[in-house]
Amino acid sequence: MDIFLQQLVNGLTLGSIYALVALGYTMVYGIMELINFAHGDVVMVGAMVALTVLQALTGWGVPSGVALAVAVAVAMAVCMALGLAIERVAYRPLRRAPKLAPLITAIGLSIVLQQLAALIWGRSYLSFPSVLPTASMSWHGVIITAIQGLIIVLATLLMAILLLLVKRTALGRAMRATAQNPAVAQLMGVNTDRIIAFTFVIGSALAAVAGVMVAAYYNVGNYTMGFMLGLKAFTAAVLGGIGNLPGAMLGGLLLGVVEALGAGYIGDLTGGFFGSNYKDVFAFLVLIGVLIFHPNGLLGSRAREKV
Amino acid sequence: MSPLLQVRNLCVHYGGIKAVEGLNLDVMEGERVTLIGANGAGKSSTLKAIAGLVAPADGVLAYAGQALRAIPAWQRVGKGLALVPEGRGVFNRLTIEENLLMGAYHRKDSEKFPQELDHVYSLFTRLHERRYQQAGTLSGGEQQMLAIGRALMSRPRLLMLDEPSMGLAPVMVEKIFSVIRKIAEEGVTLLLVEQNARLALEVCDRAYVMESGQVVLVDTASACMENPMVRSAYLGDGGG
Repeated sequence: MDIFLQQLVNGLTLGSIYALVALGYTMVYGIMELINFAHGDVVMVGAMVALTVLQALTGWGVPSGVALAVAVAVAMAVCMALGLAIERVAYRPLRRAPKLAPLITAIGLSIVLQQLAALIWGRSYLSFPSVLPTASMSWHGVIITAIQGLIIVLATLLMAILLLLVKRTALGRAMRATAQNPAVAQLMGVNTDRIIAFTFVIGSALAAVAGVMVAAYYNVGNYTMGFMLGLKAFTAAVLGGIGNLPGAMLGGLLLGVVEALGAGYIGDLTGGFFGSNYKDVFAFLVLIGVLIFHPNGLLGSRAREKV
Repeated sequence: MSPLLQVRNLCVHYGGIKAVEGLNLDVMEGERVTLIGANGAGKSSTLKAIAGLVAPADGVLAYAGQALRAIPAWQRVGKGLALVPEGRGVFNRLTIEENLLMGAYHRKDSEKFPQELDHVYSLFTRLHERRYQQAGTLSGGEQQMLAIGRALMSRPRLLMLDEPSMGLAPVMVEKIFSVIRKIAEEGVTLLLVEQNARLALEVCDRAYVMESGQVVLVDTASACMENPMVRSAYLGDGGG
């Protein structure tokens, strides 16, 4: 039972990060039916920028709290600008092109971002400076570290803000209207190009925060870190029903929990034949399962064209 | 007095298909004008070009003395140009009220919205009962009411309606048209595209009859009612 609860906490932490990234996939898909495969690499850029800023600031003796806040802010700003540029340069010219063209562009963009990152930050692992509180609390043998607590609380807060924005503001209404019928949204006075760009910006801001969280959680960052994370977050978005915001949140949390529990028990269940290093398998088992048995996802209602 | 809407030599092409070819059209302020014609005559394409949803191949569009073609579609509603599109185009997964508020999206004076929502609800009481439901759950007629109400929320000076009677039961058509009359009486200029020529001619002052992308007849609505060509082709009778 202790292992179960412990893995549940670990899974919720990981799941919160998946959820933040999955939101970026699902928002972009919702508004232009595009799987932005470069999104995972935006997360990576966020992590690497934050790491660089943190290393510099802590080197100068800036207090950890301040350094962390500045690093997150800079990472968000850089990623938002990157998201804006990606939409403008890579996707907007293809707005009227066949669906496959932007999809291939997305994959190409992912490679470009990774290679650029390799040029800027090198191919080795950057380590996360020790700026985070190392405290933890224990409850019936279950340990929750300060980082875990911080990740879960911050992710929840950001998701709540996003939901409020989309459900309760005029801008959010315009986003939903654009997703449902861009031509009619224009008749209502919505500058749909701007709304689409804004969607990329929001998704990229969340990606930046998620990137910092991943780097802080595992204590490292690397130019390839966005690939697997992106695939898993995409899986989470599909699991929840792509295009559906609460679905992405639910899918992310579930996937994190499934993965953590899988990693925790796979050794016992297979008599030690498979170790916890096989944990990545679970995400893709989930993806295959969803695609076969419930392709619309948990909260997705309509059959949509799949990539 | 110059017309509120002036269309000269409008051409709309879809690839090789010439939907509208050299159309001229004037709508005066406060006037009720209808475009009638068979399927594929180019009526909807004309409205879409005026609203900015399709780019004309050629021609001049002027609205309130301003050239329209350089203005993107999303800026035209702010000038008082509203289109209720063919097939209604309601946002299915927005609530009724959210749909109506989308109509007022370009406006800054949000303090006036509650009062204007009430006005729309007074025209269409069905919408009021269901205001927190998703628009996709409405019947076709209710969706048409919603689309018209949404356009009213934009405070139109020129309201264009594309086939408001399409696919609706006669009693619903009656209801929709009684509201369209009311709107016209409030001083809104109307440009109405209809396949139901009889209804359109009853509501409007003037009519343009279109065939294969061109205007073949312009006259007052009452004269069109008496015109033998219109009677046999669009009013479906040879005598009474």
